[in-house]
Amino acid sequence: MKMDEFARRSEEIKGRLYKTAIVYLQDPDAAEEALAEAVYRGVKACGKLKDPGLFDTWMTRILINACCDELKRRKRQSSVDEIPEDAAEKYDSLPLRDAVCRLPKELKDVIVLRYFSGYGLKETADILGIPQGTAATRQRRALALLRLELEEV
Amino acid sequence: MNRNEEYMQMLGQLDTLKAPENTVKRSVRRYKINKYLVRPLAGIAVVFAAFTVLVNVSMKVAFAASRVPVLRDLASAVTFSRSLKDAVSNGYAQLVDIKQSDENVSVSVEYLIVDQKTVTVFYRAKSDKYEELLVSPLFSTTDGKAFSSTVTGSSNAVSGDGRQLYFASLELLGEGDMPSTVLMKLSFYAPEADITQMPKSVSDLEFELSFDPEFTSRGKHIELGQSVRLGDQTVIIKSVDIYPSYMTVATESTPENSAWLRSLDLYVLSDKGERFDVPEGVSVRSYSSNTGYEISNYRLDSPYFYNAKDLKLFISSAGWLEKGKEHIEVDLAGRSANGLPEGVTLADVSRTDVNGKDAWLVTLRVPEARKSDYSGGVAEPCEGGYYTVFWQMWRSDHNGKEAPAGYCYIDCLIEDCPYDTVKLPVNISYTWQAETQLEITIDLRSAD
Repeated sequence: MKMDEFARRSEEIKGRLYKTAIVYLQDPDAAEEALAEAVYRGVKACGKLKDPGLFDTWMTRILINACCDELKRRKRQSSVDEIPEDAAEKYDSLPLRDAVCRLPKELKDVIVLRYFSGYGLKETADILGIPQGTAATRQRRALALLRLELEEV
Repeated sequence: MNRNEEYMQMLGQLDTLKAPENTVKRSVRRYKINKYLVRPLAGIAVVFAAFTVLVNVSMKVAFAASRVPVLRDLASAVTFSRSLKDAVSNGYAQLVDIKQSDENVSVSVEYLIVDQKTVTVFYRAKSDKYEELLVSPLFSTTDGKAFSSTVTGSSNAVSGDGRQLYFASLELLGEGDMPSTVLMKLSFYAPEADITQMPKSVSDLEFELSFDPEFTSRGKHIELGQSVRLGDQTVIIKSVDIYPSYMTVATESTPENSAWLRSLDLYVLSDKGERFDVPEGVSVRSYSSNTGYEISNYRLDSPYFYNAKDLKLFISSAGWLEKGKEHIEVDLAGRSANGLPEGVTLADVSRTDVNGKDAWLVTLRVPEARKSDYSGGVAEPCEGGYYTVFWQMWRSDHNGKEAPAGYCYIDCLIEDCPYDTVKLPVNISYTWQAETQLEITIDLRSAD
């Protein structure tokens, strides 16, 4: 993909990417930085994206990597950690926003993409590079921890 | 409110959010700046890249800096560096008033912070023609000669409204100290409406910066010469230098070591309990001499203004790169690799293109625990120039196949490479972790 097409397509989906980063990071400034970093990584590597149809999946994957890097950086600075699945009762006392943030990473990835960024199950699986069945399983486990009863979207 | 109601409320709040307007353009420009305006210096490519990251991460801070009418408010413009912030709050920054302009840009240099090794200059830019300009600083001696070994930092872009404060910095590496006068040239570039086009040069403004010797002599040197074992290797903690702008810990590895020291987790505590860390985004400067000795300087936040009597240096872990295994050699045509670190395998080699130019894509399967060893981009020297290497991590290969448990895939994009065989730099072969942190006392009363 050429740089000008990359820039145009990035402009088209930046709103969705930004919202995804907001849910991940819970901080508009950090989300903006993660989006900027993802676009930077994307423009550097866009030449290797052969199939423009995969652009959304590809960019979202880069964004998630950028968000994870930011979370790792923050983890070194604060003590906000994931809550393990076997401590499910701890999720009940948290607001949903915080509960999502403290899900184990593999579950959080699926929940953010499926229910906050609006990707379908197959797209979510593609973005995360996991089989669709695995994505479905993680979705069920995460919804159970959050005590969310949601229709399929 | 039950969980589903909370969820609906969160979705409603998200719907009201809009992505910041210029994020995509800003990142594309940052890429161009790094690719076209920034040229790594031989021997310190990794260091330069790390500092560029710091500057980019901090750019938002620079953009956010509002007009500061008095010196004490300069603190709001230096939040990207704890040491500079301390310098400002301790009245160490100097007020200057130097103006230069041409038909496109007017620049007013207003403050600087200088010590024995570093100068950080703060300025405003005004342009009636351009709302936003990219900027690239160049420092030289008064006779126009470039400094031999430096790191330059800068705000990447400036607003032409003249209200905000931006910075450019020069840090001298090695033996040389800050001269009494330095020339700073700020080159401004106007972004084209078509962001895929290179920005055009619109202005070069030069400033002569003279420093008070009282400030350029500021620094303390403490000799340590203490030998420590970090796993199966020996390191000498040679000395500590403390300047207002930063503190460095110098180490030396002996030729007897079978590995190069590539990372050191360390921090310093004062006798009053204040802690000084390695700032985010700033990494090691290493020099390898022909004798096999390796000298590294680790930069930390500065305790200069804290009036400590003693400091303690703590070391918790070290990353080592085995000698003779500094590169992975990849035969691109033959799709094979030699010198892969333990646990790493070659997954794929393929041709691709970057903006119409041929490039190679090498995919490695890497243990999750080692993935952070492969990040960012570096320039590898080769005959007639250099080729660039850029790492990117994925959890599945290009066919969507998920990496085995405990592994991930790392792509390495190789641009501008005319060869069939390339050497990809390896950062760390293995890590040593201390059971109990090593503790070294730094007696400030012995400072020069």
